[in-house]
Amino acid sequence: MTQTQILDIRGMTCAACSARVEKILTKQAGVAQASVNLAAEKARVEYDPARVSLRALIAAVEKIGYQALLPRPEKADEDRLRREKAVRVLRAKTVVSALFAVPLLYIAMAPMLTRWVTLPYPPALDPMNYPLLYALAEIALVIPVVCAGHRFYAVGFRALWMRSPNMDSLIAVGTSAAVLYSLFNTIQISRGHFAAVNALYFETAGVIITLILLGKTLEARSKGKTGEAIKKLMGLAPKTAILLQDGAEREIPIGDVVTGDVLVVRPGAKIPVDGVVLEGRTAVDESMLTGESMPVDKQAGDPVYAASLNTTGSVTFRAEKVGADTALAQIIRLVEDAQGSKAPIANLADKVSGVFVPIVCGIALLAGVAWFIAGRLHPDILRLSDAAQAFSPIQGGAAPLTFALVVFISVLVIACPCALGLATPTAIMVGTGKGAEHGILIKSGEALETAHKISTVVFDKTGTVTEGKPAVTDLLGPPDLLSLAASVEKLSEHPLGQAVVAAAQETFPAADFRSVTGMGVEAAVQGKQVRVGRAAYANAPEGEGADLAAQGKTPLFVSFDGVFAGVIAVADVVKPSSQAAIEALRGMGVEVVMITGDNRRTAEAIARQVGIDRVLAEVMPQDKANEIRQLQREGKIVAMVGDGINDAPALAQADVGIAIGSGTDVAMESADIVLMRSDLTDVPTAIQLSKRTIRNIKQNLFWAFGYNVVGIPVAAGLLHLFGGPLLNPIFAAAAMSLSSVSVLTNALRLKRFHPFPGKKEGRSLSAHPSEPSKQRKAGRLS
Amino acid sequence: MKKSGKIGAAVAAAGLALGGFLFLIFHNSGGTLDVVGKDAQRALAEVRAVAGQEIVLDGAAFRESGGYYWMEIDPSPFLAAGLRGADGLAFQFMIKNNNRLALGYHAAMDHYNITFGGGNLFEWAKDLRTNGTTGGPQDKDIVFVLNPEPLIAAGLDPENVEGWAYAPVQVEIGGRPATVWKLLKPFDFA
Repeated sequence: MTQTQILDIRGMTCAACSARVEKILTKQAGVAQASVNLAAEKARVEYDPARVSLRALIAAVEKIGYQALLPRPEKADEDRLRREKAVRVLRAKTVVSALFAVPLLYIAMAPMLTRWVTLPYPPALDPMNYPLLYALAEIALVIPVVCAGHRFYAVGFRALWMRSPNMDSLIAVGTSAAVLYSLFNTIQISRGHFAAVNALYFETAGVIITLILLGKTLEARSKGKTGEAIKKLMGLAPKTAILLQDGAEREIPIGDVVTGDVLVVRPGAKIPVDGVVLEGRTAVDESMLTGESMPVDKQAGDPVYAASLNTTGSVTFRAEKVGADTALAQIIRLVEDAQGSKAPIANLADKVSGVFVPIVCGIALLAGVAWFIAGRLHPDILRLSDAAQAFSPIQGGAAPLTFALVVFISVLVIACPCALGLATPTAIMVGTGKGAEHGILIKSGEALETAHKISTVVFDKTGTVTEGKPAVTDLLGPPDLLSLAASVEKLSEHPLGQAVVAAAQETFPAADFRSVTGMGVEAAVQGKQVRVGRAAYANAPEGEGADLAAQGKTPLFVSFDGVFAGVIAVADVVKPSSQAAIEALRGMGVEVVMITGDNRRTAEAIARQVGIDRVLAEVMPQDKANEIRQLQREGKIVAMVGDGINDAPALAQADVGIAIGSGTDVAMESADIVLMRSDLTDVPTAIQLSKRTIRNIKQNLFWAFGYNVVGIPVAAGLLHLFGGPLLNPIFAAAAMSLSSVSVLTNALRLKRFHPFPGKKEGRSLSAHPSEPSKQRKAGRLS
Repeated sequence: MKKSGKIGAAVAAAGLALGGFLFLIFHNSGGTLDVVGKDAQRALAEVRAVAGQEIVLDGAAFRESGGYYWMEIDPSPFLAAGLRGADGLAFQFMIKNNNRLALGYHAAMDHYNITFGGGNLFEWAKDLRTNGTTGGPQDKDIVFVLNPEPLIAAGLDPENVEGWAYAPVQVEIGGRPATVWKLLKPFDFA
């Protein structure tokens, strides 16, 4: 029996780290599957507790140099503070590093720039006159930079020692080589070999560390932004609650509230946990949860949900669900899980990242040795042309060892597994977060990826395309027809009768109520004997109401004192958003199908109203999944949109199951995407979002792969072979930092995603699924 | 070991390594950071040892004068090439010894140099014993470099100065690279 555990993983710096953690977790006996998300810094492990303990898994991760922690509830602030602190520390290190690296770069480069520009320069540091002073000054300036970047060495060399080199290892080895070689040349200068002053690379190490620190700072800031959707969701919950105990009110932290506590909420305060109203009446703004802009009336017995806003009255309620059990917490968990999940598109990048660093080390070594040997055999091959010397670390000719070292450092530094590792998870994080902002909960990266390929959307009819509850659609008769009929139906419990009552503006007292099974109901109202029911029961003429029936509506015939008075048509009405959603889908080239257990006539009537051409009617619940399978056999990528328990198998069978938020928990469990607002226009929005996210991921992967494919050969000296420049390791470091930042910036572009034109923007971040608002019911005809 | 202990140990190790490194540096350089200045003095003494051919680099005069580099060049080839008004005189260049900035190191040639001003300088190999024998960049042990312009103005035909080459040289003027024509007299003692 396996169980799934999420672990917070700290200390990962690049895709090689996440690949390493994933590998070590997967290797543990009893682990069925492990997946590590670098951007979310989380591992998802499916394991058998009988074979391996959680403690052993954590120990395995820690053994390879990372920290594994059990995620704690209510850790939103802690996480945020930790991330903010990390950004602050990185920023401080970057500033310190830059303060020393800039003058270091200046004193190193200014003498080389004299052919283009004359810069003020201290004579005592002139490398041609005072090479030892010059070298010592560079050492003095590089030491604080190395200290600021000490983490690269601590982590990088440890990872190397553990035979799992990561990006820090590349930085550590590259800059160490530069510093050690320069120290050696400083000793050479002190021994009188002054030409060694041309082979000092302290500024290379200093600037590399500074640029990588700068890149890491920007990366950390961008990473924080990718998780903003979760932060927003978490920020909805209040921090405290007012507990009513022994008649006294006491403010307690939200974490101390337990099920059964009686809590008081004042007007203007947020509901702290899910519960049921015990006393008082109020209106609660649930827009942040349901998208419904009108406050919902609440009285004793009504449910209230955490994070909704109490507007008018003070209420007392009993806590029913607290902590991780609240609707808000479940939504947050759903989004977090999705953000931590992997899309199949990430597989290639993951595989490459896992072997990336060792391969890069090999290429760097190979290129360095090759240039060294070539330089020894043919010294002229190392000479740079005048044009190629611009911004090159080598002026004129170079000793083979110097040349080889420059190539070695450049290759190590320019290779960037970060960009590869961040390409997919950052886009998934922003994409799923953006979905949550629009009330679209995408439960996994896989669902997000599949959604962009959807070619057919199958809608369940009842409760999905339609409201799922009957409502009055047509009135044919005198003005008081509805109110008199409603006065009778008020005493009935029939659902069609309830629709009549709901539609009536006023009702009157009724007497002598009688229900005739299979025929209808009657009562005395306002001095009239009013009958509501079948045609024969109300003495309706032959053929009366036939056209309404043809439209899929149920006609209710009414008579006053035995004389036919009129018809009230009741039907399950189409949701206002259905037609727009279906138009949008067709506009996107997606085939739209409606599936229902209803009779064909009703189904086709509804389909005509909303513009659906293909109808699968009279399908038994157990056959819905078969119909989906049949569509899949036709080669279609099928999304099923439904809300009921009977839709669950079809939702599971579909390539992407989309559950309507107002539907059942079973449907939502079976679905890949949950539309929290019961608004069908969210279906094309979800597909659009998926397309945008996948396009973004592809762009990211293209840039990340392309950057390395181009950058590494250039750093290895390919251009120099054809008379071009030799890449300066400083530019390699700048390019490396920019690659990660550019991938993150591209992912953040998804934050600008807007639903298709014409869709009404809601205010919700998400919604609670199961409670249709009273206003929505009451306002159906308005 | 506690984190603070580890940090302390790391700092101590780094301090020791740095101390050892600096000791090595100062030990090698003989206690001076001006290694070029010090070594140039030593090398200059060796240059003096080859004096008596066509060049006089008068170290004795330098010592007696209380701190001047003094250099004389035989003017006869210049007079033969049309130079007027210099009969019986030697070209004399001098520079005050304590002007350290006049002393330089030319890494591309592995030469020291003394700049006398006016575009005239004298370069000599850092190590005459090994210059040109270790696969180094050149084999010129010493080079006189004269600015020809005032001489040309005084009637010199720079193409016809016996023993001297009139050639373009890459220099920096105001920090910017430029090509100028110089009169050069290199010597290879090998």
